[in-house]
Amino acid sequence: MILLLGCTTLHTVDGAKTLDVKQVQIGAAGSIQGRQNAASVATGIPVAQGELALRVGVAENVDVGTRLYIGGLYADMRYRFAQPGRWHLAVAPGVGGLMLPIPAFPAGTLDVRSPLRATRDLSEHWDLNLGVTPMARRQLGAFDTYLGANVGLEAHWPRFYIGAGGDWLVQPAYGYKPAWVVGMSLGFRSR
Amino acid sequence: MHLIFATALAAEPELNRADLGVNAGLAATRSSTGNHRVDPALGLWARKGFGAAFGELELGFVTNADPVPGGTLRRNVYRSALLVGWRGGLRPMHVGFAAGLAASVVTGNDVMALQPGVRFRSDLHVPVGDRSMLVFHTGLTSRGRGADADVGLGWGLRW
Repeated sequence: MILLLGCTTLHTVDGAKTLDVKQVQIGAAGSIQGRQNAASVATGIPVAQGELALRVGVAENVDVGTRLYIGGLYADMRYRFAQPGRWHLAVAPGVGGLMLPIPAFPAGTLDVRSPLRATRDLSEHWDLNLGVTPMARRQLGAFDTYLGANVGLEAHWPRFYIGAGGDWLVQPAYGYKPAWVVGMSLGFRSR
Repeated sequence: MHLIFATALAAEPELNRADLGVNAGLAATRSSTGNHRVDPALGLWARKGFGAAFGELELGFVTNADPVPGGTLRRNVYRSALLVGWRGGLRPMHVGFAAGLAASVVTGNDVMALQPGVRFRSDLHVPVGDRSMLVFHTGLTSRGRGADADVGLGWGLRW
């Protein structure tokens, strides 16, 4: 059954704006992901993925987060390293993967991702999120490399946000045809 | 982009100094069979800062064992790269991006090849004390018709 779902997630759910110190964000996301796992590549049928996410601000311009999705877990640290004008720039190195062993991947998979993210303030309540994600995934004893890009829009109020966006990732192991994601996310933030 | 980093680093003249570091990690080298197998990797780098900009010489080594029918293809990849980059941050922790030319010498199975390419690397420098830093990096290097990827954790010293 898990092959019909996502195994892991390639969905980008966050922008570059870090949470304030001790601020907490709890969210959920759902997505459709094409060419995301071996079953999807073989059949051409997209798979579904759902996830829960938790983030906490730990220092000025730094927060940490974890995402629990069907089949695995991912954790990252986000660092906003520049804030020129209405732009916010951040890196968010993280580690995660497929933690539930399945016949196709008895040892699971392990991802190391080092995304570069940019958020542009469009208005008081709207943000444009852009990103580039180099990613290395260890699976079946090999190390597949991915290069991804994402674009999304987020509407936010003091305690609530909702966003939608898409990701595209080039997978050399699968003949350079990109994996793709279309998804939505929403959640709550503490003051 | 230069203005972004230059602004962020205006009060940090020590970045004009030089850094020297080592790292260890994992590299995925593209083999003749098209696989990207995971192998341990070692690296050495020397960097000279010019404010927010820097120039860097980077050396890397990875040994690759690729099982094929009838045996094992064993190769060593020695990589050198000349990079230029920019770094910055809103905290003492810095983010860096660098790109430049690379040359890889591949040896093994009685064959030696020189493969030029380009390299891109991003890294995160976390200061530890006054003169040392922890460095996490990810890199991508083209080599022939393929590309190698590497991730690593290292230690650097500034003087």
